[in-house]
Amino acid sequence: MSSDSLLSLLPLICISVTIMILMLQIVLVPGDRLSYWLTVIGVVATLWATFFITPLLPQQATILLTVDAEARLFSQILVICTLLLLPFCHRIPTARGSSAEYLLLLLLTLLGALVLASASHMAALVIGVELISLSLVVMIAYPFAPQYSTALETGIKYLLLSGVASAVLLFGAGLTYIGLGALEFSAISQAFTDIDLMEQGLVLSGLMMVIAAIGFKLSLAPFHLWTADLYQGAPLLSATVLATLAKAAMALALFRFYLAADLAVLQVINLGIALLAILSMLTGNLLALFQRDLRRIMAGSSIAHFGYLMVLLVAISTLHSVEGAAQSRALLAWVIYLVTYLAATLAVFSVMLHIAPASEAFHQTQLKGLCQRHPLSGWVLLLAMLSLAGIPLTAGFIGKFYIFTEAVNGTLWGLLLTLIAASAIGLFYYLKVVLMLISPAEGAEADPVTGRWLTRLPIILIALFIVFVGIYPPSLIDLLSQL
Amino acid sequence: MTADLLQQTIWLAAVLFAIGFIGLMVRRNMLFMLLSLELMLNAAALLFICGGAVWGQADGQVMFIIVLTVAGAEVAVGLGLLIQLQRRCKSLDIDRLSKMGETE
Repeated sequence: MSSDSLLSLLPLICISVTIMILMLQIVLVPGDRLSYWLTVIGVVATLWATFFITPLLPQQATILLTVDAEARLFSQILVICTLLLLPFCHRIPTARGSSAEYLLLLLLTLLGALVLASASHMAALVIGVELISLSLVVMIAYPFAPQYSTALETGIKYLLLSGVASAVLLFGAGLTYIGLGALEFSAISQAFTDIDLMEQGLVLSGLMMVIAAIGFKLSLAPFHLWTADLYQGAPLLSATVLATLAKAAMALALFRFYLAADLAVLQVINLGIALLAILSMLTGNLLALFQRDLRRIMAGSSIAHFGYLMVLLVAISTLHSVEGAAQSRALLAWVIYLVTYLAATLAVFSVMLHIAPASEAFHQTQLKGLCQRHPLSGWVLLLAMLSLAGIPLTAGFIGKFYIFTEAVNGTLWGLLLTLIAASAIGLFYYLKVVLMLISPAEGAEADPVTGRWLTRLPIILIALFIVFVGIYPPSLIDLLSQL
Repeated sequence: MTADLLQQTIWLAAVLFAIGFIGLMVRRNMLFMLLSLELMLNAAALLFICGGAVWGQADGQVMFIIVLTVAGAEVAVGLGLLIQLQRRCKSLDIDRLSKMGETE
C-alpha cells in the first residue's frame, strides 16, 4: 500500500481520530461544551480532508475501499449533511446529565456512511451497514429527558428488524461467494458469465438477498412496515439522523454496488428492482395519504421517494446497452435527485426540531397557522413541502424533471405511468400540509419562539439552497457533473 | 470439497437460517429472539466457511471472523436493551412493552 493510497483515506482517518479523542475526553476531562466543539472541529476537519485528497484520486486503498471522484463527492454530501445536523445536537437534554455519548454515536454513524461511500467489497459494505444501524439503535433508545415513552420499544423493534436485514445481507453475500469465489464488487459480473447454471442460480439468489437487505434499510416496499412506527416512535433527533444521513448513505451504497458490480446486465435483478419501485411508489404515497402526524407523512413520503430513485436504476440498466453518454446522464440524475430530496427532508425535520424538539407527536393541527406564528419555520416548511411535491422553482422540481426524462429515455412506460399516478397522489397530501400552514392561526397568537439562533442557521441555509437550485439549476448540475 | 458435501452444507445453512427466522417471528421472549438472530447470523457464517473451502481461499475465513464480530456487537447492544426492558416491565415479553406504550 503506497503512501498516496493511505493518504486518500484521510477523511476516514480524521473521523476515526475524532472518535478516539472524544472517547478519551469523555473519560478524562468530561464536559459537554468541550465534547460538542471537539465534534464540530472533527467534522469540519473531515470536510477539509475530502477536498485535500482531490489531486490524489482515484486510489485503490486496499481491496476494501476504492476512493475515486464519485466516492469523494458522496463523502462530501454526507459530511455536509452531518454538519447541518450538528447545531441541533447542541445541549441535548438527557436523563443522565451528559450528552457526549450521543455525539459519539453520531460520529460513528458518519464513519459508517463514509465507509459505504467508498466501499468496493462485500466486507466493507457489511461493516458500513452495521456501523450505521447499531449506532442508530442506541441513538433511538437513548435516555432523552423527558423520556420518550416509546423509545425503548422502538429501539428493540429496530434492533431485531435491522438484525434480520443484516443476516439476510450476510447470507446473500455468502451465497454469492460460494458461486463466484470473489467478494469484490467488480468481480461479480465478470465471473458471472463463466460459471454454470446451478452456480448462476446461487449467485442470483445471493444478489437478490443483498438488494433486499439494502432495500430494507431504504424502507422500500414490501420491506417498509417498520418505517412509520420508527419515524414516529423514535426521539425526533434520532429520527432525523435516520431519515437523512443513514438513508442517504444506504442509497449511495446501493448505487455504488449496482454500478461497480455491473448489475445492469442481469435482467432478473432489474425486474426485481422495477417491482420494488412500483410497490414503493404506490404504497408510500397511499400510506401517507391519510396520516395526521407530520412524521408519519414523512415516513410515507420517504418510501415513495426511494421508489422514484429505483426507477432511475432500472433506467440505467435499459440505457446500459445503448450508449455510454446516456448512462452517465442517468447517474447524474440519481445524485441530483438524492441531493434535492435530502435537502427537503432535512428542511422538514430541522423545522420540527427547531419549533418543538421534545414533542412526541407532531400533529397536523400543530401546524395550523405556522406561517403566521413562526414566519421563518412556517415558510421554510412550506418551501420544503413544495420541493418534495416537485413544484417548479424549487429544487425538488429539478430532481423530478430528471427522473421523468430518464424514464422516457429508457422507454419505461409502465414505470412512468406509475410515477405520474404516484406523484399526483403525493401532491394531495403535501398540499394538505401547505394549506394547514397558511391558514390563519387560532387562539393564542405569537407564542414564544423556543428555537435558538444556532438552530436557525441550518434552516436558513437549506432554504436558500432549495430556492437557489430551483431558480438556477445549472449551479447544482455543474457541481455534481464532475463525476 | 465434493459437490455432494457442498450441496449438503448449503442446505444445512439454509435450514439453520429458516429456523432462526421462524424463531424470531414466533417467539415473544426477547432473549430467545436474540438467540434466533444469532442463529441466522451463524448460518451466514457457515456459508462463508463453506465458500472458503470450495475456493481454497482465506477470504471465507476472514468473512467468518467479521460475521462473528458483527454478531457480537449486535448482541452487546441487544443485551443492553434487554436489561432496560427487564427493569421497566419486570418481564422479557416484548408484547407487554407495546401494551405499555398504548396505555401511557
